[in-house]
Amino acid sequence: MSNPALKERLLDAAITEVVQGADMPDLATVIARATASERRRAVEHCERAQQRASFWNRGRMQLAALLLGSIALVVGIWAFTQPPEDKASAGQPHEDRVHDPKRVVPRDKEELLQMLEQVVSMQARGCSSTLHTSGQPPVKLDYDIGMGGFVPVEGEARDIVLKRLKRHGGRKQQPKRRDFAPGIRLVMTLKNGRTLHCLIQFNRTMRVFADKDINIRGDLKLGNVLGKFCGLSSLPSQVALGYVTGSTDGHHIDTGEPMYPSDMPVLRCYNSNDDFIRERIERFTKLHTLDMSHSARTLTEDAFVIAKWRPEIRKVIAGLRTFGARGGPLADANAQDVLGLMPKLEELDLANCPQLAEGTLRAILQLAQLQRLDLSGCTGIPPEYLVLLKDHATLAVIKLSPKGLTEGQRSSFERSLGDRLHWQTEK
Amino acid sequence: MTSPPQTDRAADPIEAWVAQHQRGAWRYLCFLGGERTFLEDILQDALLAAVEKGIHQKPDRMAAAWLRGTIHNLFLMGLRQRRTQPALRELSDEASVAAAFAEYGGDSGTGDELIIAMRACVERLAPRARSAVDLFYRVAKRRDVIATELGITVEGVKTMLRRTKDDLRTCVENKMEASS
Repeated sequence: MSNPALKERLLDAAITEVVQGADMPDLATVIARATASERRRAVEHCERAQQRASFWNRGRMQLAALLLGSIALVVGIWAFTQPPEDKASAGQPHEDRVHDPKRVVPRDKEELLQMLEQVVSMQARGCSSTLHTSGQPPVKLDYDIGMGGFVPVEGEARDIVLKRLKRHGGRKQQPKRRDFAPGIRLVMTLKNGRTLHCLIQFNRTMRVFADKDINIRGDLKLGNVLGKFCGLSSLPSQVALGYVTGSTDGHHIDTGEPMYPSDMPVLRCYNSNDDFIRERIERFTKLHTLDMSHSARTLTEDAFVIAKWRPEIRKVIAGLRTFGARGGPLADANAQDVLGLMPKLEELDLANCPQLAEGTLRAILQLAQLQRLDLSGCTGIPPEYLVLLKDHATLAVIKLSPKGLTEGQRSSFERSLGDRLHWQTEK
Repeated sequence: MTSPPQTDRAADPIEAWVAQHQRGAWRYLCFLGGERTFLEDILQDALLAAVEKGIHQKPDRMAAAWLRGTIHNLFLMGLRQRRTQPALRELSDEASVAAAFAEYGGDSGTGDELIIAMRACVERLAPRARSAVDLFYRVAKRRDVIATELGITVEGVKTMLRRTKDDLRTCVENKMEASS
C-alpha cells in the first residue's frame, strides 16, 4: 500500500489534468531532430572502425607507422633548424583556424558568415563541443552579426557606447575591452514558444549578459536565463544583455551598442506576479508583447491598477500591442481596468479564463485596434454578450470554444460572426 | 533565420518512441510538482538521455520505469541546485513515489487508466460540486474566492471539496478495480 499523502497528491494531479487539460509539451520532433546527427555520426564511426579493423587485418599498419614516423622525424629536424623569424611567422593566424569559433576572431565578413553557418548548424543539431543546448534546437533563429562596432572599440565609437552606458546609470558596469569582440546576437524561439536572447563571441564561449555574466556553455536552458529577467530577484537593470546592431541588411553592421532589458520587445513571463508589474515592467520601454499566461492569480489584485497612478508603468502598458493571460491570471473585476490601459492592443489571448464575464467583454469591445481575440474556454461570458463581438470593426479572428453552448447558440454565432469565428476544441 | 525541416513522425522511430512515452513522463513530473519551465527541462533531459543511452530499444515497461527513475533523480538534483525542498517530504523517496504511481498508473505505466477513470468520475459530479472543483483546480486554489463565487462560506467550500474528493477517490478506485 502506498503512502496516503502521495496518493492524495496523485489524485490532485489527476483532477487538475482532467479539469485543466493536459497542456503537455511535445518534444518528439525536437528530441528526434537533436539526436539524428548524433545517430548518423555513430553509424559513420562504426563504419570507420570497421574499415580500420580491416586495415589492421591486412597487416599494413606496421608499414604506415614506419612511414609516419619517418615523416615526423624529417619535419621535426626541419623545424628545429629554422631561424627564429620563421618560427614567429608560423604562429600567425592561419586560414584553417577559422573553423574553430572558440579561438579565432573572424577578420572579414566571409569568415564571419562561415562561422555563423557553423554556429547555426551546431545549434540546429542540438549539441556540439561549443554550444550544448540540452538537445532543444530552436524552431526559429534570428541573428544579428556584429562586425564594425564590435572590433576593439576606440575613439568615437567607444565614447558613444560609454555615454549610453552612463545614461543607463551603468558607471560600475563600464564595458571592458573584451565586451567588444565580434559576435552574433541570437534570438531563439524555442519549441515551447519561449525566446532566448544571447550573444556568441567568437574569441570566447557563448555568453549571456545579465546582472552578472552567465556562462551558459554547459546548459542553454531558457528557464534559467529568462527567469533572470522576469523573475523577482535578479532582473538586470543596467547591464548589457547582448548587442543590438544598426542594420542587418546584407549582414553589414555599422555600429554595435550594448542591449539593455529596455530594448527587449517581447517578454514571456509565465510565472510572474504582481511585483513584476509594480517594480520591473517600467524598464522595458520598448515592450510590445507581454505574455503573462499561467501567472499567479495575485495579478488580479492591484498589479495593473497601480499603473493608473504611475505614468512610467502606464506608458509601457499603453504601448502593448499583444497581451496574453491564458489560464486565469485576470479576474473579471480587474479586466476592465487592465484592458482599459492598453488601447493599442491588436492581439489578446484570454483563453481558459472561466472566471471572466460580461465585464471583460465590455472592455474588449472598447479596444478599437484589436484584430485577434482568443476567448476559448472562457465559459463565464454569457453567449448573448459574445454575439456583440460581431459589431467590432477591426476584429478579424475570434477564437471561442463550443463547450457549454447549445446547438442553436453555435449556429447563431456562426451566422453572426462568419469567417471570423474559429472554434477551439479542448485537447 | 533558420527553421529545422519538418519530419514525418511515423517515419522516425525515435520520434514515435518519444511521442509514446512523453505523456506518461510528463504526468509523472506533474505528480512531482514544480514550475512548468523546471519540469519541461527535466522532461527534455530525461528523454534525451533515454535516446542517447538506447533505452528506446528496450521493452516499453522497462523504458517507462527507467524514465521515471531518471526523472526522479533529475528532479531531486534540480531541487538541490535551487536549494529548495519538494512540496512533500515523501516525494524524496523514489520507492514510495514509484509505488504510488504504480498503484494508480495502471498496466501501461502512463497513468492513462487513472485519467480515463477520473474523467468519467468528474463528469458524474453534481453541478455544484463540479463548479467547486472547476474553480479550485482550474481557476484558483483559494477557498475564499470559491466561496464568493458560489455564495457559501469558506468552511462550506472546504467541506464540499473534501467530500467531492472523497467521492472522486472512491469512484476512481472502483472503476480501476473493475477494469483490472
